[in-house]
Amino acid sequence: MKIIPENKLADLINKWRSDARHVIGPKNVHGDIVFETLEKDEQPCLDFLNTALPPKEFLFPMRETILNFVPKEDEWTPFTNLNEGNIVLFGIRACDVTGINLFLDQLFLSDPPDPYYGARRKSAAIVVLACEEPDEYCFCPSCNSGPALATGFDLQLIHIGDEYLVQIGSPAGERLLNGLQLETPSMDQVGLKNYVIDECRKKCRKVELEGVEEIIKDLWEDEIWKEVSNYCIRCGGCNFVCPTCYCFDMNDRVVSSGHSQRMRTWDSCLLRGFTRMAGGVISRDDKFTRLRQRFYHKLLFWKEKWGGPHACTGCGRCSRVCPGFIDFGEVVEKIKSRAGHADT
Amino acid sequence: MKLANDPHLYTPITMRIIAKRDLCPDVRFFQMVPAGEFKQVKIDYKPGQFMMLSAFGAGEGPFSISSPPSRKGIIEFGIRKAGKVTEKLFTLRDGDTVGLRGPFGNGFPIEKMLGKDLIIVAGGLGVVPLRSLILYALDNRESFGRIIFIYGFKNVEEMLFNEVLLEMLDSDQIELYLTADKCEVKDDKYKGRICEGQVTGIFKDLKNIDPGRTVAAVCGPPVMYKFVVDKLLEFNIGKNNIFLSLERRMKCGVGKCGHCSIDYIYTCMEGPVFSYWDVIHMRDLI
Repeated sequence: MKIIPENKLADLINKWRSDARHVIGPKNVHGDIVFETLEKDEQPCLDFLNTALPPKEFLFPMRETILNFVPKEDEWTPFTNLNEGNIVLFGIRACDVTGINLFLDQLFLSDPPDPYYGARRKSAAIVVLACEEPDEYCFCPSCNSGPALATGFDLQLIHIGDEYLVQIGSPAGERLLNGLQLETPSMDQVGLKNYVIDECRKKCRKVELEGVEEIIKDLWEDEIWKEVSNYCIRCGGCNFVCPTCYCFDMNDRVVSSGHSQRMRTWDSCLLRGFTRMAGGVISRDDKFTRLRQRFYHKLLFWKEKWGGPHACTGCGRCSRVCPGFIDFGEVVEKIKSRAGHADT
Repeated sequence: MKLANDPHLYTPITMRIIAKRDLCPDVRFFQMVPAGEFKQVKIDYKPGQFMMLSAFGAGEGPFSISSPPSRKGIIEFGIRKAGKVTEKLFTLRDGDTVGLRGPFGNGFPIEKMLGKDLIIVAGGLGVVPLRSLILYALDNRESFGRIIFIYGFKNVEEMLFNEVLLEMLDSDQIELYLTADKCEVKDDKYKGRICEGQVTGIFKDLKNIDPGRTVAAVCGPPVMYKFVVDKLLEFNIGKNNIFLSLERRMKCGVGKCGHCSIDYIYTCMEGPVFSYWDVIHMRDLI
């Protein structure tokens, strides 16, 4: 562990930039906190609860070109370039890092590995900024994904007074601090760190997920899905802001007569066309079947397929953005209240 | 699973269309071979597997392989014009190139079918993937018992592969039943050879079915499965010996994009062929 004074953070970020790394950090853009590239001399905004979107787009962009097709003599030839990026993701919250480590990595890096995600992930350094304050939707402690992490980062910063306590989580994290003269924290400073994290944890909402998979599995035919989906306007917002959602679509666009591209874009299981097949048949045509799919995937299917935790990091974004006020925690409570009332 | 061309997972190889013909007004049969730098690529597959076919600039979609693996070199597809990608494919001429990835999916469990009697039931376009299985079984005739094939279609104009099937009617290698929902026969060659009604109507004509040594394969429109499965169960064929090839939307083919997920599985990886036993133990499959 090291200590870095607040006013030295700029030096650290400048050093990474001079090492030819692309630094991505939180910025205040007209009142929204979003991750963007920190340009020369630009400093991150560190006074925020959480960003509007998780930083997954820097590993898995909302839209990216995965293939180019050009005609060579009389043949179309596909080619692709992998973008390695060499980025530092600075100031990510613990919940969003969990989204990357336990969910996106699991999906994209398992056999057969996704080359585009893999190239970006390999060269990305992760610098966590632990939370000091939750908002009313945050429930990361219930998901073991915050307010700070025990492992799974390169560096983790915890704000204590006028300084940041820096935890080093990997050799790559060690290298990020190369050349800087930093002091080791005192016992008091370590105690303060624990206090800050504990206080934040205590303020978080509790959403008890344990055992919910045992209850939901008998609720496939339950009325609950129709009830909840009455409030869904199928905007897909909950998917797009989720740090564990990964579904994508692939479509071609013609750039010019001699050049077309295959694009990959985020997709949402709440959108009606998500399961549209040849000839127009839609296997999840009723809105409630799509909402049910989302909750089953988060609370049961992911666990059944990969083991590990439920596919939720407690970031609260889906509840925050839902225009119909569908709240993840409330739905979990509804599911639990149906224990023993299964229709099936 | 090894892809034919896999430094980049989603990158297709280039294939050249060598022949095509219309099977009916909106279904076209394409034959293609690896082209250019991919000429030496060998595509190994099983009946019931699918591939991702690209019409460059229009997009990519999943298509069942219609050729049998026992006839090497040429890959065949039977494609219905149904959307953006297929419309573009229908504009292509012999010599034009398309992209191909795969094969993907599990295919029919040939190892469970060896030495057994087969009941193969196709509805409409479902004949396309089942053609691969039937031709494979005929090419390895001594490895199988009876081959019973029931093929239903809406009307005679929509019957696919009609010439080869009419020949099969006279063959002692396969017991073939053709049935049309509406059987108005204008052409003499069909006279008395096509039943009227649905595929389920044929089952009463099947004699001496030995459930202990029978494996069934079914592919057709979703509405067909339940009725056909009921008929197969009446013969006491085991639930784990009835195989259904199910359609879902697939975009990536490699278990990433999420479109074909049912329950905790990805159809593109663990399907598209499922036993009826799987089906009744999974939510939302048919």
